Amino acid sequence: MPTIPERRNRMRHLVTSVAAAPLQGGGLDRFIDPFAQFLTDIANMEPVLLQLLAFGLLLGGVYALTALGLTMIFGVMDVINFAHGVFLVVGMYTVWLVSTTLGISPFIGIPIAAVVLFALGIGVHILTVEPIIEAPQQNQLIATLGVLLIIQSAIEIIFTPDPQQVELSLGSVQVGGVFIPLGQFYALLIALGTMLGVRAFLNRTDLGRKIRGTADNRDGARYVGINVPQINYLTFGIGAALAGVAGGSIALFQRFDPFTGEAYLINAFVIVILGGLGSFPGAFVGGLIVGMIQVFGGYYLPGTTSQVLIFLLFIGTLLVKPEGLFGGAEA
Amino acid sequence: MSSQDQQSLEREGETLLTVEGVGKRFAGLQALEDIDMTVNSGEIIGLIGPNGAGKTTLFNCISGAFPPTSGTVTLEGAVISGLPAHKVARSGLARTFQITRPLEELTVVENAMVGAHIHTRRRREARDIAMENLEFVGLADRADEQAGELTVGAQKRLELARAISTRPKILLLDEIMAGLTPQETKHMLDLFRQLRGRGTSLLIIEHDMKAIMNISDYVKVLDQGRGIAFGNPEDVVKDERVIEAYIGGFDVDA
Amino acid sequence: MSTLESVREGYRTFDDQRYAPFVKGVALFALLAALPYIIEIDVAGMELAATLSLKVLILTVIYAYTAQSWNIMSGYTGQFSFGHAAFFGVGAYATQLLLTDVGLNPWIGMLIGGLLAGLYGLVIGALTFRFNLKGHYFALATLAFAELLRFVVTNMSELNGANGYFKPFPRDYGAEYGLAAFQFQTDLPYYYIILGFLLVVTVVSWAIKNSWVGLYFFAIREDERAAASVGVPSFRYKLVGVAVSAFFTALGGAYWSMYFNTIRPDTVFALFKNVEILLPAVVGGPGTLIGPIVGSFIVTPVSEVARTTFTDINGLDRIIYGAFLVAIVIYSPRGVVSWPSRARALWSRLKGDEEVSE
Repeated sequence: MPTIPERRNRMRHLVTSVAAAPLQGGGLDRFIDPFAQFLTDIANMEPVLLQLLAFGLLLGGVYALTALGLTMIFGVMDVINFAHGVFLVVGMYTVWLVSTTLGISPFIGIPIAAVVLFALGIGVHILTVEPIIEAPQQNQLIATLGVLLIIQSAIEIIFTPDPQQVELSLGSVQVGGVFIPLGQFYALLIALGTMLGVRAFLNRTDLGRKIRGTADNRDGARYVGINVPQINYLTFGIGAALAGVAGGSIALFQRFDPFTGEAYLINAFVIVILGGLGSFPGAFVGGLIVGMIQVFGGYYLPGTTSQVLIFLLFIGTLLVKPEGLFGGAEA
Repeated sequence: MSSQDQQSLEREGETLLTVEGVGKRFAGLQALEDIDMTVNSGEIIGLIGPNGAGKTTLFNCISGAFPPTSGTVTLEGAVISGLPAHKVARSGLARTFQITRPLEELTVVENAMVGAHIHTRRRREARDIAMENLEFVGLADRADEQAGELTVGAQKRLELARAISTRPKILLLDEIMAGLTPQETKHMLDLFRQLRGRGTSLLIIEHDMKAIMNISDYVKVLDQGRGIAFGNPEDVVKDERVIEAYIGGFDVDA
Repeated sequence: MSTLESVREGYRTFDDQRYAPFVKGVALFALLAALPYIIEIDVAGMELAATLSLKVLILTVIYAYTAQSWNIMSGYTGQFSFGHAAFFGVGAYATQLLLTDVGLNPWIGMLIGGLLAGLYGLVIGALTFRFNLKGHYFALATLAFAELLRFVVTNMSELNGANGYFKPFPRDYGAEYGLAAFQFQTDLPYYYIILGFLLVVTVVSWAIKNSWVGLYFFAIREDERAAASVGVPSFRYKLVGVAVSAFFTALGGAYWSMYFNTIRPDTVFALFKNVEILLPAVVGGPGTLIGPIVGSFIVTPVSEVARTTFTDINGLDRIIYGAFLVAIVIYSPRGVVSWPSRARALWSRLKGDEEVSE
């Protein structure tokens, strides 16, 4: 048994080392030193910065793509779809499955994943979201969370929790001293292409305009004769299909397991709020911000400290500017 | 008519509520401008005006739902404008809402008890106060029903019971008679008189002209966010500006 | 009058008595206290204990306890928290940290953990309520505050980072197995301790519910503006709700850290922990006193038994959790405890129809 003074000493040590750590001394150093390093690197024009920028862009593009479907469902239906993360995973497994069992190129697997997810999304919507679309918001949250658990565990049971990998050796290229892994590069291209495509769909087609109209004003949409329930399930289907494309793209460059979706889901929430509810440009900018924080933070900060920054940013946005950077004006 | 006319009226009782130069702006829209009025103790004042005249906005400014952008509201000499709604209620001003806001999952008596708890933390005492007021409005026999299951007429009476359970000095009633049957309206008017008899002042927004002219000691008329008249009901209906305001965009079904 | 009706009539008379809730509570907790012995009763060669072990009972009561704590905030005041793992984790970490590094008795450490969690709850509440976050935004904010702690703890070497804490032996802090050390060599005392916790939080919850505080909580849940118009200071009372709820949730985390051998950010602050804490209350009936307990006795044993029985099917317990979540919010958002009254209503409607048709 420690003596009283000894205990008091230990307590003092504890208070200085733990409780005060984030505030002063050794605590803040862990942010100041890396930041100083960062500034020094900028001053010296270190080539690593270009490399980090490239990685940030690659990751940010994919993040934006993971948030697209989520922000669309959020914007149009005012539903937080917790199942979005596991939709990504279904996309990954679809691409993996068609490429390993049928020998189809993963690039063809991605549109297949979109179709599979579109159907799955509509099914999930009809079974779980539709019946409670008018219920308090937490009920929809709980229902989609239930869907997350069911699908995630089903995947775990069918395909084991072991990580899987799409057999694809794309290698990398060097551009002006910057190393670019091609898998991620193609994922970025797919992300950009999908975003432009969905934007054109929303702006140019009749259905797209109806979806945007519903996002702007549900009651108004009903009033002008838009079939809102139909828009709802199509939106949910399209949102899920976008998750399929995103998941399939991630599978091009990353190993995955049934739980890979969780981290992407959380960051997708951050991006949706950061960019603004239902905003596509917002999702893109938000994706870039989160991607850059992760890449630069991962390089300069120890461990997963960058994720702490992301959450602080998230909380700050929720409190001060919940409508996000792009205000949700644009669908 | 203007403030000069107000002063020329011989009003009884002490000044209870004073509204001085109150204005409210919403994102570029001037909803209220420079409203002056007073309510004395034991008075029933009608607040009328065409749709969109700013009556409910004025209620919201007085009751603390939001602060006015300019001017002050005082209750018994103490400034209440800018205070949050619960503090205004605690200083002796209670209100009802245009669209009833029953606490749906609570029982009728619990609804009234929420108001009564301003005075006591004891449940039993609050229950007694609440039951007394439910009896007053004629809902005592439905005390244990869920508030959400009451008809609109009964919900209006419940809101009244909840508000008077705070034992307010002044009560703001926002179209509490809208949607009531003639019988229910008569009952309600009778309740108002009884409340006044107990010394409670009433400020009433109402569209039913016959009812409001019948019950009010004085009437304040708003139009497009401004006060355009104040006086006895008989005088006010003869006022040119009032007639003009009403003909210009309001159904004169009174 | 048939026997059934006279029994029902008698129950109604009993139910009207002031002592009725007390009698029911005593009966419930007596039953819970007897459970470890009941499951060992041998009926026709079958022991319930073969599937429903004491460990499952302990887990069930833990989750009943945390759900009851969650319910005080989210069920009563209607502020739906999706981040109670934050409080749970703070309780667990504070207890283990003070125990390992300072040698502070876990009972005291637990209370300090509770206070710290209450403080964190106040910070979360002050920010989210002041900025008036509602619905999805509130749920996401609470989740973010919990996830924030998970990553902070994971990255603090002072808190052993991702490795967490390994519970010391009683002799390491100068104690012996027993109540004072909060450690036992068998599970039975652990069961009665968490049952005691459950009793305390249930009594607190009952007291809140039956006082002006509870009525104010409900009024805030139903309609904040209407409540404010008759003098309910909603900001302050919402803070009370979150602080009390956080405090008790943290004690649950502290218990967890003393019952299991290790705590890590990935266990006590886990994303899924948020769900495990709120699920029994949602299933049983949010806002009710008995709901969280009933809910936990439905959800936890089923998923635990599924987990331990079908060991080769990893994840079956989560499918069961998921199915419960979906089914409950779609078909019975008021939870299982609303079933008897719904059945009664259905029954009387059927009976009424019969009388009409005759």
